[in-house]
Amino acid sequence: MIHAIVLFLAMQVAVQGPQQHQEAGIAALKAGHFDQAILEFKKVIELAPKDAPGYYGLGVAYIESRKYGEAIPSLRRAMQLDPGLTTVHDPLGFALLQQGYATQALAEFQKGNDKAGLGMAQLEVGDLPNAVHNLMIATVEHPNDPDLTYYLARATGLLSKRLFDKLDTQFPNAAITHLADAENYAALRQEQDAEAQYKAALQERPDLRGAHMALGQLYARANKWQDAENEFRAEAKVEPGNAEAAYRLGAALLQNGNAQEAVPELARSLRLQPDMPETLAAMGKAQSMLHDYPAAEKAWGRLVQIEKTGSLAAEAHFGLANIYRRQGKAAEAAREMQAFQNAKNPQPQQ
Amino acid sequence: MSPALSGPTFDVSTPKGIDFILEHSPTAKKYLIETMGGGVGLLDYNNDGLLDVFFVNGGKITPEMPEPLNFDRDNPKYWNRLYRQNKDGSFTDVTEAAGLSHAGNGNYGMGVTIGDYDNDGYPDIYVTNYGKNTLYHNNGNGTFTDVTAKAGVSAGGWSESAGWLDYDNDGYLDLFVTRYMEWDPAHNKDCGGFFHTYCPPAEYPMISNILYHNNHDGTFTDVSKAAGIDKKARSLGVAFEDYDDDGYTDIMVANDAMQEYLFHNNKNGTFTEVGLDAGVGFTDNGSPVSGMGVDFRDYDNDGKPDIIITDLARQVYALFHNDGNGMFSYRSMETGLGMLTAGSSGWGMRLVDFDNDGWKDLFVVQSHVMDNVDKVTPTIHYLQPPMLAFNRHGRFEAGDPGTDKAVASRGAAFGDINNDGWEDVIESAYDQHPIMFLNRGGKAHWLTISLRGTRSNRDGYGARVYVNGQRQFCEAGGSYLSSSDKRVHFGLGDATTADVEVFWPSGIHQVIKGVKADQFLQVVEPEKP
Repeated sequence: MIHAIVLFLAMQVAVQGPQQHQEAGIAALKAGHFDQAILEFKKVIELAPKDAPGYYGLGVAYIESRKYGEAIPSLRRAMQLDPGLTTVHDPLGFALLQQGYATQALAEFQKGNDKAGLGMAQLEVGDLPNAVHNLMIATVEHPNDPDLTYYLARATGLLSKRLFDKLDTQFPNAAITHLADAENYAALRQEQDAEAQYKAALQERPDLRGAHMALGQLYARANKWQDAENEFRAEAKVEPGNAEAAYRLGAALLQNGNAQEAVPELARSLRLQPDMPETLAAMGKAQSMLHDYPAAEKAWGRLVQIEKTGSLAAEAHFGLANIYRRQGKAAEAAREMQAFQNAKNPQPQQ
Repeated sequence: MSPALSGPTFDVSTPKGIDFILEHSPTAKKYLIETMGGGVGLLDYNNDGLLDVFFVNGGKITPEMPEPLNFDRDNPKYWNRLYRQNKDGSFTDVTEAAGLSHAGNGNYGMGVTIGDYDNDGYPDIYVTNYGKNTLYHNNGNGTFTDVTAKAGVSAGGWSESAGWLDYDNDGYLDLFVTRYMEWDPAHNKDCGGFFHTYCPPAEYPMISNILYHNNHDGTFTDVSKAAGIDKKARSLGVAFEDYDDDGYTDIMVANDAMQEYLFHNNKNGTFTEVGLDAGVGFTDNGSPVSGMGVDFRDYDNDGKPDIIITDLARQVYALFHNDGNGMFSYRSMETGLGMLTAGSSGWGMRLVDFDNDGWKDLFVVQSHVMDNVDKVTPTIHYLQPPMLAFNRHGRFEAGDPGTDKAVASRGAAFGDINNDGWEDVIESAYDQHPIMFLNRGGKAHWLTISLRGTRSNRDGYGARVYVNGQRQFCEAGGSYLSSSDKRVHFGLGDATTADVEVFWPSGIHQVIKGVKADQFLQVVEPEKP
């Protein structure tokens, strides 16, 4: 923001005010000597009290000095003296927002160009949909700004909560409301409440997409693997095109020792979404359990082409080592064990 | 035959006359030893044909643990206890009369292993401790003498499970002692954030296990280094078998949160650790488990001993199937343990044929290691009921152990406590009386064999016994910190006779055909091959 303001002030210098102080103030702003800038702009105002640029410069210098309360009257005076001075809206909005005057800040930002400030002001006054919209635009322009990322996260979170509250108040018995409540309980690790809500959702709408899968995952986390298998099977029926549902059913079948049935489910998952590392890992394990070592080698081999490090890569290398050891291929087994160790404990990149 | 027993398998009770309470003295300091002890042993110390019970106690721990450490073991509250079984099935405390009341104030009790190390026909008791271990020689007159100093088997540090074996087949029992870690109260760590918790084992340095060779004169020599078993670890359980049928006992060590060790006996007094190459070092995805209890026994009646290791919740108990040729494969999922045990934390355990159908079932006493795990992870529980899983031709299915009461169990010993041909269990649990599981029995047939070695060690430890296609290995160890009935039990299902085949450690091969079922059979090793 400061660069645009400095440019604007420089343009004003040529036509208005006591030029020397104005230039000195601008130079001090550029150099980051904000106290000096304040002194220079005060002199401009003293010499030319009816001209806007001095007040504007002083307001900006106050903002840079984090003296927001003092910036506000200067900027307002500048606008009073020159109603056409549109560039004052954004710094004034910023100073007002910093002082907690969100409604007044919003009014200024709406006349300016600063999407980030506008979004933040909208967040403060509770206009969440517009806040999300404007903060997303600002985030695209400034992807590495942590403040923006935070405010966007906060805005989306609050908007999400507001929508969930709406579900609870306006549609308390809807299946989707039970699903939302279940997810909330699950996040809070209140498993019994979550289970009850998932079941209520499914009673209301047995084909509610995602509900069986979420309930299955709840059961899996509680180590109730037979129940988990049943839910994943139901989800796979509701969503035959969902690769994750097929994978989770296959993984549950594996956990329950049924590799024979797991293989077609995992194969279906891989057809729907090829090269999903988790599915390849499970497929390798299932084929190994069935003693189909070429098929296991194929799945794990593909996995280690995709993933070089991490637990799945380590698992694949360990499985491959076991296969080669059984086949009496000592050198290959040793190579895979080394790769297993490397995958588990990757060397930091230089 | 699969005798479909209706209702629970066991009558569950506190044995009459046993007033022992396992004192572990938990403190806010979370000293790790508080949550690790509690061994139990079954032995017939007076050779009256009735199994007696020995319990290892913990000790008093205070928040401040000044040196020298004093666990107040002279206080009767913290004694180990020996209970003699009476003819009516009740028990009498004979601790003091037997000379077993002095555990040593500097010793916090852990486990026990029973074996007749001097071949005098009377079982001796070895107690492991945090501190120094104790060997009690059975004098044959109802009393014991502490012979630790003479025998040279005090170990030191933190010992866990131990077991007797004759690794060199010289006819005398040697002693393997697992040790957990380098730890002392002054260097105890408190993990966790808001909740204080016991620290994971990796927070403490590893330490080596110990192998004592029996010198045949009442003394032992530490041969750990020479024998090649001094590879450092954090070990909790140990079990023995001859997995490659070469006539020499191999050693399986359950390690906590690191690779499991399988020591292959090289037949020359040395061992080679082959866990990784044999496929028992990790689960099938290369992950370690928190190995605690262990059993080395043939679960699928293919004639080759397999391995089961109990561990913590979310890991599932690890079952390694012996595929032959020195290779094992991880089969927890295929055998149903994935479904049955993913939420369980297991300690003492054994594969035992409880329904005498000819297939060894699985009994595990359970509890998480962290006494506040429920607060940290609500789906995992500190107190847990035991698990009984029936073996249906190699796949395990949930059974009814007769209680769903959740307790903090640690040790478990297995044997036919009331001599009715049906295997029983006794477990030790924190802050309460022991729990006995007396088998309700059924209609299937059985055979229980007592081995008496002549050229081999007198207990016959290390003998491979085959009956009607089943295999057992004579030893009292395995489980966790505990020692089981040394008699070898077989369920025979419908069979009313059995062919018995014994491969003695001496190399003698003995065959007895047409043995009548439903009897306690003593098999004496022939003096000559």
